[in-house]
Amino acid sequence: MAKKILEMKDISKQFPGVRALDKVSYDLNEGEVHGLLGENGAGKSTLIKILAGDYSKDEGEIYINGEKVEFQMPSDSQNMGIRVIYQELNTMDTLSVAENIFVGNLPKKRIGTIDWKTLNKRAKIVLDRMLVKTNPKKIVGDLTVHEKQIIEIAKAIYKEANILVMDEPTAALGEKDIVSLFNIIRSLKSQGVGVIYISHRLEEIFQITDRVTVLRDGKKIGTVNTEETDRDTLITMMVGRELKEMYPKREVPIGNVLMEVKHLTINGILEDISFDLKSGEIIGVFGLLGAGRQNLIRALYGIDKFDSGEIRIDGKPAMVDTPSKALQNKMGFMPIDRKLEGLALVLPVYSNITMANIDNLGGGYFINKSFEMEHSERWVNDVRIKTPALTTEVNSLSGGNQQKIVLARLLETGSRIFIMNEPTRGIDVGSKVDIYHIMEALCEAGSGIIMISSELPEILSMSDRIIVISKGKVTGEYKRGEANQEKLIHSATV
Amino acid sequence: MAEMMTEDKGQKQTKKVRLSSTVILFIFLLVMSVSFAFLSKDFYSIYNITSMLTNIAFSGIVAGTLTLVMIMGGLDISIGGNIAFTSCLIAYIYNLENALPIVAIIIIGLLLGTAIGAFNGFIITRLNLNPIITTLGTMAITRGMGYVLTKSRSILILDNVIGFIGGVLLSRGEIAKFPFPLVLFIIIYASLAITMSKSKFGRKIYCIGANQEAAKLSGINVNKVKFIVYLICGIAASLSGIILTGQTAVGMPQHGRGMELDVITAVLLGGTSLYGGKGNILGTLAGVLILGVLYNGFTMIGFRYVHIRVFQGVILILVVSLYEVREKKTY
Repeated sequence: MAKKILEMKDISKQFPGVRALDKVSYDLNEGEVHGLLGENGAGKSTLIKILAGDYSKDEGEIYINGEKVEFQMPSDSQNMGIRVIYQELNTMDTLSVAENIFVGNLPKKRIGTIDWKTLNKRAKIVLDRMLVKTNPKKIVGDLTVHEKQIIEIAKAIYKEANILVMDEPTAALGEKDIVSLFNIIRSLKSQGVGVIYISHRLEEIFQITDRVTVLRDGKKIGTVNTEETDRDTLITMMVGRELKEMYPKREVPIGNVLMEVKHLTINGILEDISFDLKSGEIIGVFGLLGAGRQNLIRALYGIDKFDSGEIRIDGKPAMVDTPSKALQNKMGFMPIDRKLEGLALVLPVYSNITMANIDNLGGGYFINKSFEMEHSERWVNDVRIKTPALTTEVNSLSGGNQQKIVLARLLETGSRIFIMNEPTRGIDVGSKVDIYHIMEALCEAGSGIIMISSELPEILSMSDRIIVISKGKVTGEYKRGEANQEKLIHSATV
Repeated sequence: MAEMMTEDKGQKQTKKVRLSSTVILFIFLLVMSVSFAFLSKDFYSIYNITSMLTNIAFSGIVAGTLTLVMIMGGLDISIGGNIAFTSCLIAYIYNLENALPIVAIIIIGLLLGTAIGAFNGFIITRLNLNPIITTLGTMAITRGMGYVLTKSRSILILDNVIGFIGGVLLSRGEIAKFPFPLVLFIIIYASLAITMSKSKFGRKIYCIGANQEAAKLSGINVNKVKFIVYLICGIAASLSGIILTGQTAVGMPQHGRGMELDVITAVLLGGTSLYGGKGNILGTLAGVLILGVLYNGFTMIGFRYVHIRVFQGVILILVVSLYEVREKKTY
C-alpha cells in the first residue's frame, strides 16, 4: 500500500450565487500521477487554488502526510512542499535560466554580490535531475514554451517539492515536447513526487495517470483507476450526458460563397492562407497556441493589417482595414476574452447589446431609447440571457450570460459572417448548448461562421469543415466526419 | 431560483445606489447651505449667492467638460495652464498698438484653447501617449508660454465686453453686476447633461471608458471620439480663462494655478470613476456646488482659506470611500 501524502476531505466552497465545490474529496499517493478531469467551471481550478492557499475553503479538511493543515496564504502551502505550475507561465523573460530557477534564493558571495558560478552549477544539477540539457546561462525569453515550462518545474522541485500540480501543461505543446514532458513526470514519479495532473485531453490522461478523479458542476462524480476505465465512461462522467445531446449539430444546406480569403500573408506570421466560407457553414480553425490563428482572425476583422492577399465578400473585393468597415460588411467578431475585449462590465445589459450599433439607434444626435429597449429586450428573450433587468450591470451576471450578451451584440448588428474566438470558453454546460443552438439557427438563416476552438470535442462536433494551422500555414483541411483528435493534433504539430 | 433572487436584490441596490448617490450629494449640499445660512447672515444674501455662483461658474464649466474626459477614462491636467495662457494672450493682444476689435480677440482666445485641446487629443490618440503625461507636458508648456508672453508681469485689461463675460460691468466708474458666467454655466451643463444621458456621442464616451478594446471591436471610432472630447475640454478651459480675465481685469500667468486639482476633486466628489465608464454630469454639478458653498460659507463664518483646504481634502476622501464601500456591497 503506497503512502498517502495528500488527503482533501469534503471540501466545499461557496461563491456569490455559485457553489463552486460541494463536499469534494481527493487524495494523492507518493509517486503517483492522479488526474483531475472536468469541464470548464467544474471546480478543478477552485480545488487547486484551495490547495495552493489562494482561496480559503468554507468546509472540509486537508491532511498532508497524515497531519491536518490549515493554509492561510500561498506561502503556507509552499512550505508544505506543494507547488503549482499554472497554464500561464510566470517566467521572468529578461533573466537567465539559472536566475529564474533560484529567484528569491540566489547564492551570494561574502560581499553580497551574486555567486554566479555556484548559481549556474546548482541550476545544472536541478536540470540534470530532470534529464534536460538546457544551458543555465540562457536568457529565458529566447526559450520555447516547453523549455519555459521546464524552468517552472525546475523552480518548483529544487526546494524538495513533494506535491506538484500541473494545470493543463500540454495546452501549448507539440507532440515531441509532450513526450519529453511525460519523461520528466515519470522521472519525478520515480523519485517519489506526487503529481496532480489537470487536463481535458483524454489520451494524455490514459498515457500518464494512475488514477483519475472526475468533477462536474462542483461535485465529485467519482475516482477510477485509469487501467480499469475507458474513454466513453470518462466522457459520460465529465459531461453528464451523451455527446449527441451536447452538440446539437443539424444538417443545414450549404449555400453560396459569403467570403473568400485569398493568399493572405502577414510577413513572418501567416503565409498564404486561402479558404472560403459559404452560407450555412461552420468552419473550425484548429491549431496550437502561437500557430497564428489569432493573427488570422484579427486580420480578417480589420484589427491588424496584412501584407498581401485579398478578402472578397459576396464576390467583390472588400477593403476591411478597421472593425467598423468589417461591421459595414456584415461581419461580427466574438473575442476570446469577454472581459478584456468583449464587455463594458460597468455598463448595463442594454448598452452592451447595442454597443456595435449605436449609430443606428435613432435618426440624429440622440438615441431613441424605446427603440433601443425594444431591441435589447428581443435579444434577451431570443438568446435566453438570464438577467434581472435590462439595466443590470453585466458585471453581476454569470459567464454564460455574459457570453450570450456578446453574441446578442453581433446579432443586433445583423451580421452574416461570424468570427467566433473560443465561443464557449469558461462557461457552464447549459449556456454552451444554448450557444450551439444559436450557431445552428444562424446557419439555417444563411450565415456563415468561422470558429476558433481549442476544445477538440467541440470543434469536431460543430464544424462542417476544419482548417488546421501550424506555424502560420494551413497544414490540414478536413471535411465533417473525416477528422478525429489524432489527425488534428498531428496536423497542428507539423 | 435562489440565485435569481440574490441577483434581483443586487439589481435593486445598484439602481438605488446610482440614484441616491447624487441625491445624497444634493441633500448634503442643502444641509450645508442651511447651516451656513444660520451661522452667517451674510451667506444668505442675494449679493453673496450671486457672487458665489459666479465664482463657481468659472471652475464649474471646466469641471463639466473634464467629467466627459474622465468618464472616457482619460484625464486633463493642462486646464490651469490653458486658462493662464489664454488670459495672457488676450490681454497681450488687447494692449498692442492698433489693437484688434474685442470680439476678434475673444475668438483668438477661444481658438488658442481649441488648439491646446487639439494638441492634447492628437498626442494622446495618434502617439498613444498616456493622458496624464501628455497633459502634464501641456500644462508646463502653456503656463510657461504665459510667463514668456507677459515677461512675468500682469497686464491690465479694462474692457466692457470682457468684463461682461466675467460678470462685471464697468461703466462710468460704477460697477454693476450681471451674472453672465452663471448663464453660460447653466447652458453648458444642460447641454453636457443631455449629451451624456441621451446622445449617441455620450454613449460612445461611456463605452470607451468602460472598455476601450470592446469599443474598438464594436466599430466605435475611439480616436475620433477621444480627440473631440479633449478638444471640447480645451475650448472650455479657454472660455474659463476669458471669464477669469474679465472678473479680475488682468491677464496674468499665475491665473488658474493649481485649479486642475480642485476641478478633479469636484468631479470625483460627483461620483465619476477614475477608471472610466461611470459618472454623470449631475453628480459633477453637485460636486462643484458643494466645493463652492464650502469655501464661501466657511469664509463667511471666519475660517481662513488654509483651513478650508483641509476640509476639502477630508470631504473628498470620505465621500469617495463611501462610494467604494457601497460599490462592494452591491456585489
